[in-house]
Amino acid sequence: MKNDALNFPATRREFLSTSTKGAGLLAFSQFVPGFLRDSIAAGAPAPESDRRILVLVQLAGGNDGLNTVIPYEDDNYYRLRPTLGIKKSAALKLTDDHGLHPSCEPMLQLYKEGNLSIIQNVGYPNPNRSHFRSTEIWEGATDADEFGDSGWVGRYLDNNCSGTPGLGDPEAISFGNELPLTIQGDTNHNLFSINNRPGRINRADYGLLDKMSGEMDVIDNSSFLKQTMMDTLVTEERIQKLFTKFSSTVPYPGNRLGASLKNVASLIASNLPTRVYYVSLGGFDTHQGQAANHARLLTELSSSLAAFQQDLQQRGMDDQVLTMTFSEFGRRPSQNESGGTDHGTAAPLFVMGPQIKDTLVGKAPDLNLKHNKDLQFSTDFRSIYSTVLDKWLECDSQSVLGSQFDHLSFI
Amino acid sequence: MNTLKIKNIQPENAWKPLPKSEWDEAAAKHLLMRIAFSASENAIQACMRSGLKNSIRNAFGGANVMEPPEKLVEVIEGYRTQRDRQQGLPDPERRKLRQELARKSRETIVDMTMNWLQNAAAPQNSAFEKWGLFWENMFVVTSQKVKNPAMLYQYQMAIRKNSFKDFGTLCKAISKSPAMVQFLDLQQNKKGKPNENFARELFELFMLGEGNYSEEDIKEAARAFTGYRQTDGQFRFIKAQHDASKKTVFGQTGNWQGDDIIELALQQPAARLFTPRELCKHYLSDEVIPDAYLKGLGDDWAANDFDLTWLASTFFSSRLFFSAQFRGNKIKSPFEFLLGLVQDLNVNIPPLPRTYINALRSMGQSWLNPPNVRGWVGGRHWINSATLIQRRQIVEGFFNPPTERRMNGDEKRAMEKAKESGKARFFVTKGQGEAWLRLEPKNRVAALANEWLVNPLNPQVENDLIQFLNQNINRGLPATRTVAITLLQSPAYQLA
Repeated sequence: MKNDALNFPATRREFLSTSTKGAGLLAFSQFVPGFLRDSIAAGAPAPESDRRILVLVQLAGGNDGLNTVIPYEDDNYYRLRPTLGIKKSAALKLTDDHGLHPSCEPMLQLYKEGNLSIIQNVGYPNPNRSHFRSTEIWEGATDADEFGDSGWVGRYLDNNCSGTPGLGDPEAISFGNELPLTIQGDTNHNLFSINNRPGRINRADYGLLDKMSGEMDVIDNSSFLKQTMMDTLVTEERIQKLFTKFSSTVPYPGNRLGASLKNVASLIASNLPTRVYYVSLGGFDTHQGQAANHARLLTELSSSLAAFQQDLQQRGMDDQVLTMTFSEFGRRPSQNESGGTDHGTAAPLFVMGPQIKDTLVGKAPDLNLKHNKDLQFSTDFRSIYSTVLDKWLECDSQSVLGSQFDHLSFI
Repeated sequence: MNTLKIKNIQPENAWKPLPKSEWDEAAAKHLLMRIAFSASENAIQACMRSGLKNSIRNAFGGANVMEPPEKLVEVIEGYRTQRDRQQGLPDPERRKLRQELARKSRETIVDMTMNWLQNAAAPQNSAFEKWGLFWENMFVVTSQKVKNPAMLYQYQMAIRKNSFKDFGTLCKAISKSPAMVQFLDLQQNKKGKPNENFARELFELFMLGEGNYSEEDIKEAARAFTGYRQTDGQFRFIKAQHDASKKTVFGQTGNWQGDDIIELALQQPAARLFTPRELCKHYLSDEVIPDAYLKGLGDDWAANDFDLTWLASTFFSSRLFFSAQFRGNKIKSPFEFLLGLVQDLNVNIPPLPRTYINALRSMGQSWLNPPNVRGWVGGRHWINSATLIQRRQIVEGFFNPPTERRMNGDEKRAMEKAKESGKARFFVTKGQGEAWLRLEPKNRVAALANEWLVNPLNPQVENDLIQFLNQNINRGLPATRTVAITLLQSPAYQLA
């Protein structure tokens, strides 16, 4: 570390000026994010034509599946949801017996165009109704009684499949306040997380943090920390610039999810070699006053997904991107006394992209249930993961999931 | 791991008490940062009034252990009656009961971790809990394998009850803690079919270190620990499964039992070096202190019957501990970072496990769950771009509380409950910012840096920060928050 420390540029300004000139890169190539290094070597990052990207959209809190995909011909549905049920006349017709929530008009369009697949009644055996634990099960892709410290995408990164970014490039990027378990592997990866509220993108430190990372130091560990911080800041700044440089011309809705997906589209368009993006929309824990809240959330989801897909299409990159939603659980079929629903089990999820082959997959839940009983899932969420891993990311799903799960027909 | 070159101090003087003339505010700050998690100006002044010896005593004295989680009793009962309830039940129902218990167990571990964090964050408990972390990282068990929270609770209590007695007593207590019995497979260790797992780790990772025992010693010692069992979280010694015949360990032959083996290991010269070496690694330096220095401490410790109170007070008052080369050069672990941060900001840890337990895991540390039996490697291994981003986001989180909309029902309820119990100060308040604002920009930067950073600010950086405040004089509060956040997110803040 000591020798490297001597060679490390004293300030960020010096760092940036030397690196853009391409001078002296060998001396501290260890600290230069790979894409900077590559772009200097080749003049510009080489676009990978066969690059395949996965975008995960977490619906945090437990999305109410029955009011998302509505079984409007089932009397049981209206028996269990006397006031919260969505009327047949209001539902957006998908099939003869199922319709989407009225807030999902843009998603209906995607569905009709064949770009959206609805996978029904997804869950897992012995469901857990704790937000914390069930999220962990979905993100870790484990059995309900199995505990691990890594996520399924993280283990995909561990496998070092073809097409993973080089040293120094972000392998996965999440938008939010914490690094989701999903993208954490058993070994260390270059993971980035960005906090982007609309109108206030991440760092409000006016370069002060750079200053605190720039000056060299006699204390050993301090130099090491500064170098690592500088590396992080350089990558971060580069990413922030890509948001602007590759900004979209497609109008996105002015909400949090729209802002995140807009930024994801910019990064994809910039040819950043990152393979996985993770965004999150919270607030689905609708124990009370569900009708209005759920409508607002589904509007946000639906309009943002549609804008994102349109954006990718306009850029001619939609065939490189597969987008998928997930939520820790669905909600109880019986509505509760507060105009809401309590924690449940299975729910539908959505997969979006031109690769979609089958727009309606799996069996709808059986609603012939007593009061306050839960749905019995029909599709294991790991079948979806295994399909995505094997068919889209081209990574042996068994090595990530521990066992073989049947593929589904959505792609 | 590199062995360190010690500067300006000879082995024979290393463990002598710090001369009175060298006990100053900088020394008090070093003591506070290392013995616990933070060093406020008030705490430094209190140390100056007490003197070194009393400061150490005060740091450890008067600590409370955490409240057991509410669900613990229910879970203990669940494990106790598991077999009775399952008898005669068809398989699917048995599995359901088992899974129900596993679910409750996991939730209880989450609750227990939150209780522990909140307890350790109280300044009067910090030194004691950091001492507990030291032993937990030496006598490792993991919640990955030991899933019964009652056993984990008992295990960490065994450490807390015995960690200021003599080392032999502590080792014996741990060897009989149900969590350890399960974790290192003592449960499978029986007469005629010894399981060596515990005996090996006892010598290699708990008492002596690699190279200080033979394979034969392990084989023989394993036989001495036959018959150690736990049933429903209670330790039991099953005589019928114990191998009572003669064993030869470290050249000494007898009808040894487990406790005897611990006594024999203590007589090995390596035992005098091993614990002091680990102690230095936890509190002093990521690099290894040379044996020539450790020997003096170890020999005197042995002469003091391996008394752990003696060890702590000698170590924390020693010249070596205060030596200039160790000051401000230790990378905080995720626990040290988070607990120090809430103390520096004078807030409580919000009852939001999703946020804080996940963040700690992203930074590489889950309570009672190190990656393997060796424990956390620590030091520079804590730091990479992902963990630094996570550390920065934790800081941001205390300045920008999550909105109600972002919380799920469990979290809203937990926040309500915490508010009712009066522990509602979770985020930096406007009033705190206004108090900082009363100082002139120059003094404001100096005060915050002095309160939070262990090393002095580089004068150039200090000027930059002051200049920033001067340029933003008409938006004093947000600019001051920016400076505060920057200081707490800086590389410098990661050091203790």
